[in-house]
Amino acid sequence: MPLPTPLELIAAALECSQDSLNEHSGLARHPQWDSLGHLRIMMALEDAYGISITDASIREFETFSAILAAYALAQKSAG
Amino acid sequence: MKDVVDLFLTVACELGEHPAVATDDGRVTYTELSLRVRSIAAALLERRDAPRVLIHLPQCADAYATMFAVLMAGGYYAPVNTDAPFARQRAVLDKFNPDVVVGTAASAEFLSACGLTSDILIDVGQDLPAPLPKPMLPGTLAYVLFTSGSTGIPKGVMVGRSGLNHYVSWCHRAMNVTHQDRWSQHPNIAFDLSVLDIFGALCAGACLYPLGGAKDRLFPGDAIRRHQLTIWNSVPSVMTLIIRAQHATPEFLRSLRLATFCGEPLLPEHLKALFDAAPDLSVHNTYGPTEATVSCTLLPLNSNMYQSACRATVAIGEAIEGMELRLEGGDNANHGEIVIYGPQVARGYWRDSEATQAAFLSHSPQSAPYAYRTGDLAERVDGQLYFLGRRDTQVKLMGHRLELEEVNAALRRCGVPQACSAVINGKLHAFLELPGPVNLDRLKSDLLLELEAFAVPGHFHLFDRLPRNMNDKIDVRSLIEAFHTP
Repeated sequence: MPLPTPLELIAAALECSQDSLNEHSGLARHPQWDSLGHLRIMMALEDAYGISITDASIREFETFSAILAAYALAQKSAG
Repeated sequence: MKDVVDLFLTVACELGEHPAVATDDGRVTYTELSLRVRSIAAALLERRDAPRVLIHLPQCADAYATMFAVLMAGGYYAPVNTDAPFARQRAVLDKFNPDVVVGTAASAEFLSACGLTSDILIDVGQDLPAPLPKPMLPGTLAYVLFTSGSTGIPKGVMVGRSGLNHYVSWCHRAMNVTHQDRWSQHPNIAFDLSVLDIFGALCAGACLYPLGGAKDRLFPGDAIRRHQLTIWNSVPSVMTLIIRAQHATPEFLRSLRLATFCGEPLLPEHLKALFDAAPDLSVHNTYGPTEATVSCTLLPLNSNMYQSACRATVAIGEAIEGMELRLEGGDNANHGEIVIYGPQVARGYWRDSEATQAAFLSHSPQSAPYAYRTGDLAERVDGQLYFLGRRDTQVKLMGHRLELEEVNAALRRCGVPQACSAVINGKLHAFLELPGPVNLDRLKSDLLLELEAFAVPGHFHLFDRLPRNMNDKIDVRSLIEAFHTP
């Protein structure tokens, strides 16, 4: 099964429309991306991309663009 | 009533190598913490007697030591959240205008960005002078806590040393704190709920566990389990994180003997989750504004009786010993604005006599206030006191006067666990936090049974989770901004 894209993953975790997300979205920069939203995104990142939940990763993936970059890197190394 | 500095120094002397503050990186014993307190106090007194001190540190042993050190030096402090936006930190610095800033190398950068030199900084990472042998005479104030003001300029609440002593004395009687307790430290030091943790634990010999790491803040259940915490203290919203992370289970929560909440309404589902996971747990629901020194009511709850204290929210309890709550200006004796009397009433607002006179009652403009008008509405039902909402959330719609909290309470009665409402562009909007789908037509017809037609919101917005502010309270302002159209 193909990996969900960051847009799909974040929209599903936040239960929001994909249209409401853009490259500027992030923790406290989207109505549903608050501490609980971030918790759900981190749990989804762990499940889908195998990213460990640590202090560093919780801070690193606070933005859509950071998650996009990690996804691109994972795709590149997989390919 | 004993002073907090004397309590701490006595406990530190008795307990010596017992841990005072613990993290994953190590422990600070009471002897070590006491030395830090005395050394920082000496450094402060080298600068000035009875210093006014800004504490620019994250949640850590040195931040707690600085609080005791300032009081030991006869001064008073204002804590600042180092994670807050720069503009907010600067606003507090500007308004407080401290004699001394206690911080780290990062604080030097902060001061430089504010156009100040590091002359006023004591860097706790550098060498400190020899410890101060004994405390100086206590000052009138203990701390100034800056809350968000309605104008956007922070408002400093001046809490007196005697008020703090009264509160800590109550806390020790009510919570039966022992040396065996392992106590969470979740709220940031700039949020006054942290006062309960810091002074409650360290004046009684418990061990404090700061939850400063990103993972512990997002998954607090993990921290409870890992550290086998016995006392938990936070705003109720943090319970929602624990529940959603599926950590409200015996595996995660069984070490707790007491969970205490303050700062926003505790909800029946929070209690159900807690007691399902830990049936022997005691829960304290408390209420109080910063202006009455953290909290001034208590409702002890256990798994056998909690349902009798639940309506849309959990009852807030009765005034603690020495304090008095009156309901004034309401429709009847069981309804009105909460006015708080007693020794924990703050000394007014920092350099703002107008706001002080508007909210506090005193015999003359020069004398210390004896009561505080909270602006919070409450009602007594079946002997229990329930928080209703803010007086200043009263709006007018089509000529009708409406308390927004009345709408929120009706939404909760109609099965929405968390809700808030706001008037945006002249229309009433409701923001609902719901775990699953909702039938809006059904909800509207249910609301019409609860509210007059003008009070039923015309616009509904569904959220899996409503946005929270830095203190984990529902951030109504951000919702209004998001949905406002110019």
